[in-house]
Amino acid sequence: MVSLGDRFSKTILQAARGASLADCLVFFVTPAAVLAAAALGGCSFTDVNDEISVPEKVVLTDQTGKKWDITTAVHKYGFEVERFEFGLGPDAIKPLIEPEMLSPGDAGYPSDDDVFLVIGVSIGGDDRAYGKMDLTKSEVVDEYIGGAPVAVTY
Amino acid sequence: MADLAAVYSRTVDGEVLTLGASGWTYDRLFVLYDYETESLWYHLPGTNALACVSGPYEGRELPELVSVVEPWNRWKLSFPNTKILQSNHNEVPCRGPSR
Repeated sequence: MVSLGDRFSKTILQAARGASLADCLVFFVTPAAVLAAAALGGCSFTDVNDEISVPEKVVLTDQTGKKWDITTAVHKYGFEVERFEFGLGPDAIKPLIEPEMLSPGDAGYPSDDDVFLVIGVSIGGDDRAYGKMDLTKSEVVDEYIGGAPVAVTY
Repeated sequence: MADLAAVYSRTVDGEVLTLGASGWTYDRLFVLYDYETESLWYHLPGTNALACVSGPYEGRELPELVSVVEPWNRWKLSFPNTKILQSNHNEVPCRGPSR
C-alpha cells in the first residue's frame, strides 16, 4: 500500500516532469499546490510508473543468433515484428565495396549494342552502369561516384 | 523480391557509412544496416530516402539520388564513356560431375 505522502512526492515528480510551468509550483509543497501543479501539467493521481511508460524493448534474433534492437522501428514507425522475414544474418549477402569497374576498351567490356538491364548513375561526369544480374548477388554496392559516397542497391 | 533498384547518398553528418544487407526483409524489401553503428535503414513507402528506423542514426535519412534502369545499349548511347561493373554473371555454368 502506498502511503499518501509517497503519492504526493510521486505526484510532485510527475508534475515536474509533466510541464515546465509546474516546475515553479512544486517548490510550494502544499497539497493544494500539488493539485494545481498536477492540473497544469495535465497529470492525474496515478502511480508514476503508469504515467511515464518506457516502451518495452523489442529485439529480433536472426538465424545466426545475432540480436537486432527494433524498438523504435516498432514503437515509432509502426513496424510489425511478424513482417520481418528471413533473418539470414549480415554475412549472408555481403556488399561489394568499391568493386572493379571496366572502362571502354577493357577486356570484358560489353559491346555497344548488347541488351541487358543496367542501373545507370552519372554524378559529376563520372558515369557508371551496374548490371542488374550482378547486383542480385550482393544487393548493395558501396561506391564513390564523382567523389560522392553512394550506395547502389537492388 | 520487389524491384527497387536505387542509389542513395551514404553520408550522415560528414561520416561515410558502409551499407549492407542486414539479412532481414520487411514486406519483401531489404532492410539495410550500416557497419559503423548497426543502425537499420529502410526505404519507407512513399518517400525518396532511406530512413533510419532503429539505432544511433534513428530519424536520419539518406536521400535517393537520380538513377535509371534501362538496357545497356541505351545507357551506352547516352553515356559513351561509361564504366561498368565487372560482370560475374557470364561465368561458365557449373556442370554436374560426369558419371
